[in-house]
Amino acid sequence: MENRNGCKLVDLPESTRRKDRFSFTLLVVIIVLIPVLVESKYYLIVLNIIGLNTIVVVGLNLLIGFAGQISLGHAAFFGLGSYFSGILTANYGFPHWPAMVVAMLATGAIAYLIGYPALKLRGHYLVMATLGFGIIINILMGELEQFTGGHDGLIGIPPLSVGGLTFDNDLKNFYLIWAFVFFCMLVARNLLDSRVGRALRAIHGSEVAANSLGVNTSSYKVKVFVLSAMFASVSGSLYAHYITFISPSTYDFYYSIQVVTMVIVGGMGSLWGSLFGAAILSFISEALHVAKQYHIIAYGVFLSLILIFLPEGVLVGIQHFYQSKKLQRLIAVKTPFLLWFNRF
Amino acid sequence: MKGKALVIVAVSLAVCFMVGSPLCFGAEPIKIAGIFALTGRAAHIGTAQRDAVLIAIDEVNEQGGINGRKLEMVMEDTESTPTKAVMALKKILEAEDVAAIIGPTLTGTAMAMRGFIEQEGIPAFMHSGGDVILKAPLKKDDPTSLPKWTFKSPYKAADAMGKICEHMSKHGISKIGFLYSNEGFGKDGLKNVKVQAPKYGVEVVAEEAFEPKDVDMTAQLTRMNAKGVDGIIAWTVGPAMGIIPKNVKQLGIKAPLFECHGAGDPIFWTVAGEAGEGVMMPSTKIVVADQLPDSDPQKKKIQAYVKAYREKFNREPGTMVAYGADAAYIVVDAIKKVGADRAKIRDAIENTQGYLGISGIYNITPEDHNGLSMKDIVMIKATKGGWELMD
Repeated sequence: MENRNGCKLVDLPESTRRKDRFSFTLLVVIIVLIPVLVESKYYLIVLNIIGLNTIVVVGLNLLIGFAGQISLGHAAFFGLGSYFSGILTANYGFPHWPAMVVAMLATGAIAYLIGYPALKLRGHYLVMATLGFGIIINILMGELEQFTGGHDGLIGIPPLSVGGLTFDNDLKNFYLIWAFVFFCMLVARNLLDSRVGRALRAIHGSEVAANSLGVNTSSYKVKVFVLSAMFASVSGSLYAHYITFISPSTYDFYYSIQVVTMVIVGGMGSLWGSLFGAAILSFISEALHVAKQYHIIAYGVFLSLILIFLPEGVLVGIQHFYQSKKLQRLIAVKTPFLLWFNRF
Repeated sequence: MKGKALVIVAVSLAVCFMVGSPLCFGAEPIKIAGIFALTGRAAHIGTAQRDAVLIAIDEVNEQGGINGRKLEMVMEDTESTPTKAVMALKKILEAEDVAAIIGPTLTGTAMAMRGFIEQEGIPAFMHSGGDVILKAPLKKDDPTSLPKWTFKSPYKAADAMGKICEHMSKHGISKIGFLYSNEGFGKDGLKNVKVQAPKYGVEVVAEEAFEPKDVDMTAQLTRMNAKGVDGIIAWTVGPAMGIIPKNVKQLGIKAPLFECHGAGDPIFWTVAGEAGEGVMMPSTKIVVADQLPDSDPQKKKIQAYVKAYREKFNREPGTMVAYGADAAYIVVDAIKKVGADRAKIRDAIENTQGYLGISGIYNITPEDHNGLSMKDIVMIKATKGGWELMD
């Protein structure tokens, strides 16, 4: 595979593409099959929440894993999506889908306003900016009562609909949300396999080197930040129309931390790791409920174990482990032969 | 010999299964869902309410259950967050055949669950404080679409505020300052005081807000004192409950301090320490059970309950415990009357009249899914690490 510039290194290798095609097909098959196997509304809502988290995490991973910047304000972007969609549809009777697009664009614009100055600076200024921003937005959700319903929350958000089909139960929302997950992952994957993606991976490798080769690093970082905020906004809109009630406590600082944790546990810079991180943490936090009031402790222990033994993330860690096993096997098989061969 | 024994066991087992498990192993239990904030920011309230509900259920089971069927509580944790609350609700509805729901603890979680509860058609008795649960319509464009399956046990916050204002006007306090935490609960209080105070000829001359995590309110109190208030209401739960009395003492403010109806809990003394002395608040009767006049119809019932609570958990029940207990007793009572059918339980709860509860006497109607009134609230004064009933 050689591209126009004759540059081999930065393009995704064919084997990865084949693997990705296979993985995406597998994802579709699993999405289609799951409702056949799972009938419980509870498991469906868990899967739906995993899906919503995945969309946020995929976006955030583009930022963390490729632009090397951390955002602690993604709960705010998630919340802006929810509140724009919710307010426009519930208070002003806006049609649902355009409201979602408006929410996405508005969130993107707001992200641009924060990202533009913060990302011009070298270092982790975006963390500070987004941290403050997240808290401000969370306060505004409670204070702008005439629009948001204040701390009592916003009621009466209608479910989404297409033609005559209303997404008013867990199963229909499952297909809707996971269709969005699939679409967002596809966008992220194709983005990484494009000129922009190559630039991003260059920035990830070394910002100075990328800069010296003519990559406008700060502009790319802002773009990725805006895109990642838009992903969160879409997820937020879907959440609002699914649960049909929103209140500020859903979008507090802890949610921002939670999604960053998902990125790290899944594996920074790994697309499938995002899905894995969102799935494993959402699922584990539910499964640990068997430990009654100790589930928080169990969850903490679980997280610590992951970070100690698989610091590069679960999916990436397992891959590395598997590869090193393969290497060891290779060495184990070939070494005696080589030793024998060297005698001649 | 061995063969014979086996045959006997096999035959008796077969008979058991044929006759049906009820005769051999006792009837299927009636299941009730308990959804509480067991972890997260409201964990101290949620766990107390869980214990309160457990006492009610154990009591029924010790008496042999309902028509031979034991009660069983299936418990879930909301982690004090709305999304997890909805997940907990669906988990229970899916996995178990529950007759009714008791809980949740926080208003936010209750609001998130409300729509799904109405959709499912299952009676739910909540312990959350916010009046909005019953007042807000389910559909934005239809103000008559009030919840049909949802009830709540704590008295209305408006009534608690009314009680304070009534007390103030009786004791000649007319110019007050209102200090509130800048979040849902505090702001709700601000709305209520503006409605209730004028009714009793009390004027709010100063309004001051603070952030829930603030550690010092002397600035707000000084400003208030400068306006010459002769009474202060502090509307908040959490650590600020203790910080405000400390600040009042430090500043030497003479105006009496009143706190909200959530303060009547042992936790108040933990956060306020000695400074808590003399603070007044509205409360359920549970914290002053022994001081009630013998003519009070609730006295015996509350005393018995407090005794059971102390024996079982070895600590003092706070005002939140009463809400959990009442929700449980009313639901259990309804099941006793009509069996495990959800719709019938709902109707029975809605027809609860003159029910002698721990928090008060419940008169539930289709228009009022709470059923308590201002008469059920008492004013108490924090004295020597305990509570003193005021007139």
